[in-house]
Amino acid sequence: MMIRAFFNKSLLRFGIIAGLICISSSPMALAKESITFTDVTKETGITFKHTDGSSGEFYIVEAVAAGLALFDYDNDGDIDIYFLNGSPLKGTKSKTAPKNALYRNDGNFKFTDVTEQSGLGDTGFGLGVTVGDYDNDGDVDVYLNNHGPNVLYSNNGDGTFTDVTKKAGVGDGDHVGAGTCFLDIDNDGDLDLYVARYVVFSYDKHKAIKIRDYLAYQGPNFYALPPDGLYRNNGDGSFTDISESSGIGEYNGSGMGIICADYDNDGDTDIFVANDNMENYLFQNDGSGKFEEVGLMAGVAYNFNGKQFASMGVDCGDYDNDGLLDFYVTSYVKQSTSLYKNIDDGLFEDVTSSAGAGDGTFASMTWGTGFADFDNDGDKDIFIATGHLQTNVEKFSEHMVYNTRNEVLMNTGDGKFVNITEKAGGGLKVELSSRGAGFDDLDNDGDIDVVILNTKSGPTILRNDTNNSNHWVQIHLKGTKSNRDGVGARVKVVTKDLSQIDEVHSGRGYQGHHGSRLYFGLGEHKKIDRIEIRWLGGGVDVLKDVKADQLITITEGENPEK
Amino acid sequence: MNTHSNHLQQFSQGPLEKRLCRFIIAFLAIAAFCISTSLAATEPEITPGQQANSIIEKQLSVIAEEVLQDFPQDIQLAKFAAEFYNQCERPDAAVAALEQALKYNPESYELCNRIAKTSFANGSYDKAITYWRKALAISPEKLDLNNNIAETYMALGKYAEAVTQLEKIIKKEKGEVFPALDYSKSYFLLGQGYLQLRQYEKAKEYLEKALVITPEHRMGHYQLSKTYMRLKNPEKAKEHMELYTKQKAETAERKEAWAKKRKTAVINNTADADRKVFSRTLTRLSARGSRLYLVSGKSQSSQELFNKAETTFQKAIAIDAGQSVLYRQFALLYVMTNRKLDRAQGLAKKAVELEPSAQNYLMLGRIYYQNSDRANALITIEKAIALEPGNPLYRRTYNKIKKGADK
Repeated sequence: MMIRAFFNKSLLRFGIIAGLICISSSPMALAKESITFTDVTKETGITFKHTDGSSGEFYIVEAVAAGLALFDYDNDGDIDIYFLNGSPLKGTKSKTAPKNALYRNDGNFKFTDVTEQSGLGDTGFGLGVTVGDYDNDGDVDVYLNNHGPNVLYSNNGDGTFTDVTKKAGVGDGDHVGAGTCFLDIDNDGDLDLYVARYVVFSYDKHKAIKIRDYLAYQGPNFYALPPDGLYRNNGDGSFTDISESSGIGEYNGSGMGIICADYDNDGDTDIFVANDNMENYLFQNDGSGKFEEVGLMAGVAYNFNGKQFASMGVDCGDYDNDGLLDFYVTSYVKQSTSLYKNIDDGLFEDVTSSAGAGDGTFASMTWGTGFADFDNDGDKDIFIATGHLQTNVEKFSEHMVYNTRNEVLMNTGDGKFVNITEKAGGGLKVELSSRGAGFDDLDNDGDIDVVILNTKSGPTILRNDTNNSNHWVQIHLKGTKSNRDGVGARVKVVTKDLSQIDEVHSGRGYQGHHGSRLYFGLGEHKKIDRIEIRWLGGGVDVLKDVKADQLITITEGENPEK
Repeated sequence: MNTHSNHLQQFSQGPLEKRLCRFIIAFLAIAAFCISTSLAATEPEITPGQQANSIIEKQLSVIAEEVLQDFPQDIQLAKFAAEFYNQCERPDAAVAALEQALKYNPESYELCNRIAKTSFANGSYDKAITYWRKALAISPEKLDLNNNIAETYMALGKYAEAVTQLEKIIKKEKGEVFPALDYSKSYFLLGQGYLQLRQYEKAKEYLEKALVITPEHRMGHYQLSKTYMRLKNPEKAKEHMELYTKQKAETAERKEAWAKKRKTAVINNTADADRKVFSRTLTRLSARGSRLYLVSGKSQSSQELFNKAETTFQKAIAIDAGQSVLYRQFALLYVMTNRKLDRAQGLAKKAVELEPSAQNYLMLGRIYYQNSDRANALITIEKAIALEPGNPLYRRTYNKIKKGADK
């Protein structure tokens, strides 16, 4: 086991606050402080501006761009940022082709644009991205799910990347991309690849809708819907398209956000696809890499009263600490987001209203989302990126606007949420049209910060300035028998009365990636009684009596369960 | 003369007159907008359809605001205004218009129901419940409102409250059948509520009851399938899921066929469609508003509040310029007060132009006579007589003028 302790930059602040707060015996006692975010975008040096490639023709792909990825591309121990960008669509004139942008984290919220050096400046129309070590060589690779040909970038281990799409065979034709995930479908130790596809689009079939005689984006139902793609990793740097044989190819849909997770606790990874304006799909893995679509039976296809909605992003996490992974799905305006509580036996209950998990989301169009314990109190809160889809919505609607405020729902610890956006600091006052959002500890101070991609605008970087003395632990997994990133591994952290689980995902939220390391808030607990890692393939490692407030790297097989 | 100047002073200073001024200014603004937009053909972002819709929308907005201020108590007016506000996606304004009318008509079931519906559609669930409860108190026989209340409780995640609301009705008096209650919906909602409360046997009971009444209730099959899954009966779950899927596919086919038929028209003619909707609302709102102004103007005339009546008729004509009766009544006001007879003649001519009826000819004839134009008076009244030869009043008036009687 390798342990790396990170000194908290605000240790002094925490110490003072801790001295002032009356500590109670309950871990929840410290959870009442509001979560606070500060907009530090201007200080970061990030100058990226997203472009959607539009020229007034209202091509559907413009409206849904794009996701972002947070990952440590250079293995230096801090999280870097990768923004997707659009490219000029038919009829759009552009002097220089917009590129995706990679920003290296230099610490203290300072970033340097390393796009050129890294070779990650793809000029395709970026929609979805995921990150994973598909070749198990110890560094993370990047897969882009574009409108147009997709790209797989292999990390050379020296801060540069090489386009290996052709060799890997994952160009995926000429589709409109969406979310994408690396996952190990058959527990063979390497990462396979799921590629969501949105609609079948072509310029000649394109037609914008008119709302009150204003041109506007057409919904996905106007187009034919494609099946998604699944590629099996051959272990030699190449992949085989197994969409048909796996069962995935039987289902046409308007996939957007996706997440892969073992929702039924059977030791293999399943796939949740958030579909736009139709039922969501939940592909249950039989353990061999064959999938059955069970969304309807499981109760996640629709909302509680059976209404379909326009799903956008999806994340999973155990919000109520019952040992089962729940799903949270964002959606269209005048549709609440949805929280699907896992009630075991492969079944879910839509508890959005009773849990207050949709508070403040009805009036907004919601996109990027994530479960994250922003106040380190031992339960997962929810962040929701919002922004209208129609760029000209103000012209035909008097009560809707394009740029809106993002939302934060704080978990109150009793299975309920409260919308605290108003009280969540200046960072939540920013009004832009957000899409992808990622959640990671950018300054290694023990709390989770936020990065948001705003369409047709610069990003928003929010520093978590939540003022409390709660403890935490961050866990980074290193697979040896299973895949190198530990994608799909389940981690259980137990501290006295508090038991939490999480799983490593590659690809999540709205067509993006974040959270390669796992975050656990510990409340007042300074020590963790037990950390249990269940690796894909069945291996189990256990660590006992671990000090809090550190990032731990755990390597598979180094702490076998006795 | 003093009285007249007092009236004029009131006209320029009174609140009613101020509103009229605003009203006229607004209309001038619309006219200016029409001219400017027609000249601004080079502006690429605005299509002719958008221009036309924008004009009509602004016009509606001005009228709605004005008439609601003058007749806040009128239910019909509030309904039409709310319709317009909803069409413009201004639910808050719609609810405000309806709530204002409700202040004057606290026993209006219709207003309460409309406020609740608008609130529900826009996610204001607490408000929806409040007003559906009021509606139910006003019209207890409207038992279906219980379904609406229960549905709203569910949207709030208050499943126990939803179930209580429905159980009260279902079990009120055993054996008694309430014709006004959609039992299928009540049973379905009960089933759904119990499903969320994890009382699966009860959920099954009620969903099955709903399906006995309405076997084609697609969502009933869906929820029952979910219930059976929770009851660990996958066979039955599958059975109902298949029924659900089959019915869904059939519905989708029907929808697709309809959409194919409509698609081109809908996509290409949204401006026309919007304009039709706005025009219909404008017609209804204007007609109701002008009628109210007419009644009000007549009443003010009979109370000899002539200046007020003058303002009222002006407003009536401003919002509904196609109604001949407004011009005739306005002309009559001047005839009664024996002033502005030239204006009265113009108004009466306009009435005839809009509608060449006997009544309008008679009015115009009388004004010609009062303006000492005996020849035209006789010709005009002859036309009235030709249209209604049996009406003795026209003949009497004609004879009186012919004999050269005093005006």
